[in-house]
Amino acid sequence: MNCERVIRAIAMMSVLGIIGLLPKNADAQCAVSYNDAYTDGTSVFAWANTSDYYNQSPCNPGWSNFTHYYNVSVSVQSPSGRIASDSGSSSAYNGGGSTGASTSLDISGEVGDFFTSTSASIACSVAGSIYYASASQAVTNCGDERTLIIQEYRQYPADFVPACSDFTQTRGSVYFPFPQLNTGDYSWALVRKPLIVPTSSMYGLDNWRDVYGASRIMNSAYRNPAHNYNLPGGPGAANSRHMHGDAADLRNQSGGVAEWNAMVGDAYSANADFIEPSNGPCMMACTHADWRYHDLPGGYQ
Amino acid sequence: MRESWAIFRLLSALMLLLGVFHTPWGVARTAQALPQLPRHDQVASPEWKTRRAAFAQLIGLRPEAYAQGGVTYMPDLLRPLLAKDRDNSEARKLALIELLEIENKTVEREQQLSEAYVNYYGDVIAAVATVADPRSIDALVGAVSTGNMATGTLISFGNAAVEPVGKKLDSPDPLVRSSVARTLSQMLEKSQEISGTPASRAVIKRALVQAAKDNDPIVRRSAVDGLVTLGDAESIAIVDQLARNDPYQADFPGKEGKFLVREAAANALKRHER
Repeated sequence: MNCERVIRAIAMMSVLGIIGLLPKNADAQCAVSYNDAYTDGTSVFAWANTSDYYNQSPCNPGWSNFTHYYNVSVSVQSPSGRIASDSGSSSAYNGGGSTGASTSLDISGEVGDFFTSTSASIACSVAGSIYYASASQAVTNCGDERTLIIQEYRQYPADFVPACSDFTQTRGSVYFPFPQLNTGDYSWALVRKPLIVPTSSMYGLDNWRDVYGASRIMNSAYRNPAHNYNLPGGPGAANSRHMHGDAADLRNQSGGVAEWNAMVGDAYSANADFIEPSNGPCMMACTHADWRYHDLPGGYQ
Repeated sequence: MRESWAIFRLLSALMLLLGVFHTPWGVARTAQALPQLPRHDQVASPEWKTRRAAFAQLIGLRPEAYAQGGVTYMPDLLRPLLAKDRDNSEARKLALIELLEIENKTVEREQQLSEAYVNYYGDVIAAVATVADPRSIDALVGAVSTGNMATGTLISFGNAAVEPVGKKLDSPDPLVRSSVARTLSQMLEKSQEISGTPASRAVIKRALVQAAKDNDPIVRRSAVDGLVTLGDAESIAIVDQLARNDPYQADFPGKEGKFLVREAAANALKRHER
């Protein structure tokens, strides 16, 4: 197929597009790029790649004699301005190629946000630029294991990413000191205000315990994302309130209905926003209550 | 050939505008566009993950984004969506209400629910609570045992919610009956409209008197606060009887041998005296 025929083909597709008869697969996603940035606590890594599917049905445009050029660049900048970068390029006759780039930067004791940015583009020898995408992401270094916990919020399914200052190593309530509220894998945890407010606030964990009127055993409160994902019964929810730090599972010590119902009634009295049903993940082994709509926004300070 | 080249560039530009190629503009357009509303068969699907995908679309998220991330605070997401997409807001509201009715039945029916499902269920309740449409009363009554997202919204509906909540006292599940008694009691405390309407007070009194005679002690225990709040002689006498004579003694850890209904009734009477 020569250039003149390509022009006619493009012209025909344009006309079809104008009158709304363009085949649906012409609007398929035929080019894509992926990128990610993360840290292992000593370095920040960033990578990106891009590819197209123009040699595959239904993306094949039906003509040939063109070349796609793939370009990717990636960079990491530390809080003090140190930069590491990489780029990649390649080409493929009639499409179907790809390219990638990756780089890393030592943390070197710098605390704060490491900014990563990536860009990907595909150019066609016939049609010019046909794809461009860019992304940026901050990778936070807290200077301790909070860095890894925050990394988990990016790595595992989660509906938010906390800041270094949201974490605590001491926050506890009258009835439930910090070690009982931290049921995760680290020495830091997220503990929102409803888990520590005094019982006189008429809501929250201590109020729940107080209304019950006897000691209670904490089965689970804060869970870091990896812990939540690897629960014995299968992955926990991406928006589990245990990862937010405002949920508590108190043990049903008898395993019986009477104790479970009493705890639910008392959670209700403690103004819990959500109480899981008895066929939820706890079953009859514990009662889950959370205060997701109290002390917003934040509630970590 | 130069003319052909000019035509080619012109048509290429036209194609870019039409989104034939996935240019940055095309990507941006896709990202900003709201997901299509789900079909009814998706909302009513027997597969919960299909319903979850439909729910995501109803709250303006892509299904995979919702499944991987969820929603932190539903009102921040849903209120702007309903305001922005006025043409579809009615359809969204009705579909969300229908979805909650379906999920209430699922929760009643299933033996064991995963955390992913339960959190989705919580989000559906949060969405319907955010919508705060009186047509959702029956659906929210179906979730009356799930805490204050559901019951707080019911209370906010005022008199319209009193009768539907009271009817749920016929449930065979003592936890539901207990939650109904607590919700009716809170209606008296938190809603001036309800506490100031004689007809609503009569409905609540009838229900709480019935709850105070329930076979299950947790239901009787849940009725005492509301009866004391009503404050009339007959209601107080019922609580007084419970404080003196209720036979239930707990036999579970931390409560062994305690007369839980008597204690709750006595405490309620003390508050009344104060």
